[in-house]
Amino acid sequence: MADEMAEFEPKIVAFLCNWCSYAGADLAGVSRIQYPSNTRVIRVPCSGRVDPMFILKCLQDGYDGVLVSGCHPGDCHYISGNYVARRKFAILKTMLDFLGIEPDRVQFSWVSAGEGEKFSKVISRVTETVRALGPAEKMVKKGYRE
Amino acid sequence: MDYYKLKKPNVDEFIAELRKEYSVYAPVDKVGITSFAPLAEGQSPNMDFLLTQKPAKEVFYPQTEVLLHFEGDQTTPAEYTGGPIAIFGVRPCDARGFKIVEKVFVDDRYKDFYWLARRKDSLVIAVGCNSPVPECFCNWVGGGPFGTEGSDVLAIDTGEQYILEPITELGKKALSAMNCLEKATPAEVKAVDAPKATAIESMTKPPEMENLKASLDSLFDDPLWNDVTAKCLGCAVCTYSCPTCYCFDIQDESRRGKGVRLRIWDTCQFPIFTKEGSGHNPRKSQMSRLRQRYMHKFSYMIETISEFGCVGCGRCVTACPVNIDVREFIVKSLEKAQQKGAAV
Amino acid sequence: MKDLIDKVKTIFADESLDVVIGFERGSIPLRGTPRFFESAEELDGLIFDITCHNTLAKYLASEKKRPGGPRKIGIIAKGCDARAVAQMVVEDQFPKENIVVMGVPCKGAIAPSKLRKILDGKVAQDFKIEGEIIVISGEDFSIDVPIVEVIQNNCLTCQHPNAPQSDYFIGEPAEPIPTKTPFADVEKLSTKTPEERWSYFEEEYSACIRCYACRNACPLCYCEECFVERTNPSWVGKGTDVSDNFIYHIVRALHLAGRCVDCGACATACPLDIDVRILGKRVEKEVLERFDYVAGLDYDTPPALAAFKEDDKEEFIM
Repeated sequence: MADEMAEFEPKIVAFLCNWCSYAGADLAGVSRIQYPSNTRVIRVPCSGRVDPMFILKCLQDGYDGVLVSGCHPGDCHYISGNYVARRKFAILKTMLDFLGIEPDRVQFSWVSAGEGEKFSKVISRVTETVRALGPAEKMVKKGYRE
Repeated sequence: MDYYKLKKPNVDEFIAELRKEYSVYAPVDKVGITSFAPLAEGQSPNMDFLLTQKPAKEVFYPQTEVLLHFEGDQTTPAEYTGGPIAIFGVRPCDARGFKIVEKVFVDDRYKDFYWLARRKDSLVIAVGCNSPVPECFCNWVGGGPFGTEGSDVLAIDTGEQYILEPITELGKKALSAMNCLEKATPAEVKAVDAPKATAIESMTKPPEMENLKASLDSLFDDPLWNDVTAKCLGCAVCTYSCPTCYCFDIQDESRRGKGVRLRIWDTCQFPIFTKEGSGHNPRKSQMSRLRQRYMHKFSYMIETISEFGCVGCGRCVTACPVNIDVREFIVKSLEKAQQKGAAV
Repeated sequence: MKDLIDKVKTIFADESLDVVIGFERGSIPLRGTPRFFESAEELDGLIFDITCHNTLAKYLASEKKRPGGPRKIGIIAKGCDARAVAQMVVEDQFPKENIVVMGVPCKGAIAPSKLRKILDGKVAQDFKIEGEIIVISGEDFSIDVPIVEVIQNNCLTCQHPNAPQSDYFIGEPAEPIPTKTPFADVEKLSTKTPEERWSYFEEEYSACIRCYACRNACPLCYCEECFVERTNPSWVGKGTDVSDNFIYHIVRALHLAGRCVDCGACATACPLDIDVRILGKRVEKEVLERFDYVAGLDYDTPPALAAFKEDDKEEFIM
């Protein structure tokens, strides 16, 4: 049983805002900080660009976890994108939990351009949390296989 | 002709025998609604309902159907492997609907492979309607509560039992081969007359339907359409409930080069039904779309298949969220056309 | 009814209305249906009673797109209907100067599917209200039904039976009906385990035939192109795979966050009686608790998801 779990490598998508979180990820990289490599990064101009449909589509496609990370409130490059996003994400998270989908599969964070260390910690935490949940099943589109 | 009788407590036995040769579909309750679904072993049908919300045609023509699987260059046609279907407990309107839809899917030139895969060798056992509701208007469009078009067997409820009337050769063969059935006596057969007469008598008499096509053809540009369609929401409830609607869309769904080609029910009531690649839409208004539905069913299909594209099941009347009533529409158009005709 | 008709006729003249969106008797027993009254004579057919469940604010969206622009409209508005109108105005979807809201007191609206189940094949012809009972009668029967058993589910938790904002109010304001607390159903489902909740939603949404009656009946679903119609990229498959059905319902509830007025039109329009409202109800609860916002109460407050506070709670953020 432990062997099976150790073999499971979750597939995680991270939407990182260009100005803060993506830069923070770059900093982690140049600082040679080691962190799990399960995350596929999608760069967006702002966390406010992330439509909840992106997150749902990831879950439908079979990704085990989704992270959205943006600038700290007050520091958004576009002034208020992350504030609006914060409200959207609060509602999405509530809804996913209500549906019975494991809440820890979809996570949100604020990581600034100078927080390389924090970025690696966020990724590590998300990866291990999602690993413990096992492969995603609920929202996955099993499709039309007979 | 041999009629058979099936006592109501023996319905399960009858189905068990059917299951030897067929996948049996019958009305089943799930999530608060009744619909035609395959009966599992030992499962009893719900015979105590008038009409399913979804049309019975979904047994032969599912709403979402895989046509083929593809991966890279390889395509694998999807095949129906469920064996011959027996559908038990359809109403005569639904059964007649099979026949009408089949005129579209199967003719001398073209045969729809997917429809035929489920439809061929199928056995349709209809149950007549002893208590039509006011929304039923099968008698307006050439059908009736004990109509036999589209069925192989017609069952008539005479209280304690069903009298089974074979309609086709297939029906005759199927009934005579069943061990659990006894032949009905002439007296028992006569017992169907009373419920039949009561049911037919209870239905609203039709207006002059033979004038309908000509009336509609003369009214295409008439402002009456604005009144009839003003409250229409443009949803798909009427089309997806309809036993004789057949329009479909083909969609490919794939991910990383692997996917399926689907056939899914489509509806003329959505704007994108006629939206062209250029962005132009010949039916831009909801009025033009609802007009299309009625013209198609009551005029154009007379030209293409020589009958109305409507079996009078009344589902669209019951289900329409804003109570658009096709019967009211029929009466209004006949009246308007007559007025205009009289004026000329 | 005569009182209502006379008052509306007066308003029709005084306000120089082009059309009154109201109700007339439907073609099915105990069923009101929307009607566009374009003259004082036509208004003789106006009704408003327990049979009038439709949300008339729906028609404002298409009225706005009329060639020549929207007409001057009067609308017979139950509480929820008036809130939908207000929300449309706040979202800049309909000019306030073109609409005259005529509030009417609402004590609940019959859900046709509940009525059908209660009648169980009997053909109703008439009804009368006697306190908390509706007496339904036909050719050879008469049954007494508690009103709370035949009205829509949203009516059972309604907090706004009367228009919060109206240009006229015709009749005596109604007392709220509530037999349950506003979020009773949500709270009940919340006590179940995540697995049980998932099973519940899976069962409900697997029945969905994507007729979009819920969306089309909704006054706040007015997008010219809905996300389900997109094909490049395709946000959601067009077939009835249950996963796609989930996406449709989830995203619709998200798009209505802080906008839904719980008029119940969606659930009543559904031909298969799917519990369309519950997800949106959970969202409504969250919007209220987190952002202290209720949709459609006035013509000024910006919608919750179009606004923000710097100190919005962010306990869910890592």
